[in-house]
Parts: sequence; structure tokens; C-alpha cells
Amino acid sequence: MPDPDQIALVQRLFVQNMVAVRGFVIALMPDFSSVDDVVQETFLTVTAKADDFVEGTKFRSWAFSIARFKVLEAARQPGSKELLLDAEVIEALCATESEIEKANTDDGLRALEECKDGLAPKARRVIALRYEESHRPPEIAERLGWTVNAVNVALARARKALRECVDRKLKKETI
Amino acid sequence: MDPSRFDFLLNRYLDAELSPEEKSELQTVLLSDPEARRQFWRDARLHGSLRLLAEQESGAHEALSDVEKPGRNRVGHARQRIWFGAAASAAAAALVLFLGLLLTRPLDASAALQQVIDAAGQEGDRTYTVSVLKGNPVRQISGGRALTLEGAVVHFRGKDRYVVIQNLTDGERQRTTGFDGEESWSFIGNGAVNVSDDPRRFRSNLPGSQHDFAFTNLHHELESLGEGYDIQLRDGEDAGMRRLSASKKSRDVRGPREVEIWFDPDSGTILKLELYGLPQGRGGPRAIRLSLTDQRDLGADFFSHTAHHEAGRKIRTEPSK
Repeated sequence: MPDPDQIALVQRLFVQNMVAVRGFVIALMPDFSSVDDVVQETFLTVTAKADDFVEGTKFRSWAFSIARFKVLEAARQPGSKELLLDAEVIEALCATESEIEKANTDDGLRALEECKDGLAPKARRVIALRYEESHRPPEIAERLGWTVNAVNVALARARKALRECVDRKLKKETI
Repeated sequence: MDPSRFDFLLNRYLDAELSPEEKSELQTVLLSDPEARRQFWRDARLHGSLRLLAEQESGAHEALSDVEKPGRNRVGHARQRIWFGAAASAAAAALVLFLGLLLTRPLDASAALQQVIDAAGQEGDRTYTVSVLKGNPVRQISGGRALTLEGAVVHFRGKDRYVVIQNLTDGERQRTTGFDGEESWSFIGNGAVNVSDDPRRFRSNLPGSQHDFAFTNLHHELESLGEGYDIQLRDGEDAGMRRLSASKKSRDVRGPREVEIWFDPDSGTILKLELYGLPQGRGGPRAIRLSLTDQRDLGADFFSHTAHHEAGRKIRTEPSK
């Protein structure tokens, strides 16, 4: 059983890094369906292995490595294989450390929220259906009376517009 | 690879729409091209952020902040407590949706249930107070705030209009959500009012793991629920009440496991409603009770958001379908 103070430390750090960890998992599990389970399992493992964490070292990297294992475990489950990338690809992506370190930040989320408000109404609606209501393109197409291809194009364009907008805002903040 | 082809595949991945051939094509590039991996993270990070923003609205993931409370066996209870926010959200939605069922349920029910349905569909206003009978009533939302289902007030008019008012645990603000027959709407405290012409827009605020109760086609779900329950008519414990007990015929049926309805045998008005075995992922409210507290006329505009905030409040209207 890990030291209670050490458990308290890692749990506090986990909460502080929750947005980043969750964003990391969603990136590797884009259909959202198992994200809750994987983040929960990550939290439990972080707690169980609390004694392995050395204070002063990078907690986020440690939590990401545990989350990566949990994603890989999930990827082995029947039914998940089709939706998730293969293990070797996930490993290759996670080896791109400099990119992983650019995790989701509060500043980024704030900028994104502002950018979302600036989207054209139809783009905002399609983004809401995908991300707030977890619909996939065929369901969105049915809801909106569009073709699936039109939804795919709208989602891709909206994401591109949002990415460029967020980049602009964050760049302006750092100047 | 042609950049536009890579963009196409990446977007297909983000929407979980890759075919096996497309997946293979994307993976080959990701394994061989560092620039492709960089672009992957750039787009996947945005994808994650969009989802995180949506979750902050629903409050699901921030339930974890509860683990910061000292003096508890965090490991042992983590599974039960960690996601209660999502479950509380499901319970709130279940509450609205199930009453929605009762208000609009089709004709294949017992005579008593039909009487209750007819009464519930009348234009008169009905106000209910919510008690959580089992499970955690609190739902964490963004900014360290939390909502409680305990003591929430639900107003109904006719078949589909409703207003739900929940307190934040800071003791000051409230979350108010409703549908006025044309628009659904929602806001917290002095925040902007989100408005949509989709009646389900703010009812379906459920995390992905809660889809067992996330109706996407209300009529279809109502019909399947109506067919999926065994219903018995009993005497109520109190004089002047009758009771309907409904239980699911099988686990495959969506909705609460059991429903108890106490009603006035003369008017059919629901006096008390208890929902057991609420759909949820892990932990959280498993049973709630609605008690009728008032039947006064709430005024013509009560179900419009304008009746619940001052003039000049920022309105965010979502585009029509």
C-alpha cells in the first residue's frame, strides 16, 4: 500500500494535469466511447503506483506513460481494434515527445472557446453535434438533412478554421 | 503522400470513420514520416480540446476534483465516486426524459397509466421537488463549481414544456434549463443563455458512456420504453392515492429499472414519482423521487428563458437545422 502522503501528492498532481491527460487519451481514442474508462484506469494506476513517482520529476510525462499503456490495453479489446491505431503506431506517436508535451492547456482551451463563438452558425452546429452530443458524421447528416460527405467536409473545414484561429490567438498572447 | 490525402485520412480518423484500407494507409504514413506524426498531434490535440470543452459544459471529467478532499480512502472509493458527475447528469436528464415519457406515452398502456398520461398532458402547471434517494446528488462542473440534484425544482406544462432549476453548491447561483415549446435553453447564474430550436439540445447533455439514456429519437425511444415495462396497479399507502409500479421486462430496455407512480385516482395527477436503477456509468444517483409541491399557474411566459433572467442578458442562439 503506497504511503498516504504520496497518494495525496499524485492525486493532487493528477487533478492538476487532468485536462492534459484526458486530451492525450482522446487524441488516441477519437470515438470518445472508452475515454472515461481509460482515464479512470489511469487514475487508479497512478494511485496504486504512487510510490514510484519521484517528486520533482515530470508528473505529466509519468501520467502520460501510464495512460499510453491503458490505451494500448484498450486497443487489444475486441471491437476496439478497428477504431484505434495499432500498438506500434501508438508507440511511434508517443515517442514524439516534443509534440506530446504541447498538451492541452487552459490558455488553449480559452482561445478555442472564443474561436468557436466566431464560427459560422452551421459550422458551430456541426461541431456541437460532433463534440457535445458525440454524434458521428452519419448521425449528424441524418439530424441536419445533409449528406455524410457534406458533414465530413464541414467538420474538416471547421477544425481547420479553429486550429488557425487558436494559433493566431496564442501567438498574439506570447508577443 | 499528398497533403490533402493525409488531411482527409486524419479527419476520418478523428471522426472514427476510417475504413480498414484507410487505416492502413494512414498508419503507414505515421510510421514513416515524422512530419505526419507532428501533424497528427496538432490535429488530435484540437480534437481533444473540442471534446474537453464540451465535457466542461457537462461537468463529467471535473468530478475528479473530489479526490482532493482529505481524510478519505481515495483508492477504495475512487471507482464509486470518480464519475458521479456524469451519473448525476444522467439522473437529471433521466428525470426530464422520464417525465417526458409520461407526458407523451402512446396508447398501449394500462387504463390507469393512460389516465396518468392524459392528466400529465393537460395544460395545467405542475411543480415537483427532487430528492435523491440513493447515490451522490452532486455534479461537478467547470471552474471548481458543483451542482446538486437534491432540492432541484422541476416545472411542467402540457406535454413538453419544462423548466429545471438546480442549485450550485456555492449556495448562490443556479443552473436553469428549459423548453418553451419552440426553443430549448440553458444558463448558469449570470452567464450567457444558450438557446436552440432543437428540443433535445439540452436534454442530451450526457457523456458518451451514458448513451443508454441519451435519446436521439424521442418517439422511437418512447415506444420502445412503453413496450418494455410490466405495469401493475396497486393501492397507494395513503388514502386518496393509487400507485402504479412499472419494472423493466429485460435489461435490454432503456430507462430506469423500476418506476413507482403515486397518483390522484380522480384527476390522474402524479403526486409522487420514484425512479430506481437510473441509467448511469459508475456510481452516482441511482434513485430519485419527485414530489408534487405546487399546481399554481406559473404565468404565460414562465417556460421562456426571458422569465428567468434580466433583460439584456447575452444570448447565444444556435443555428437552426
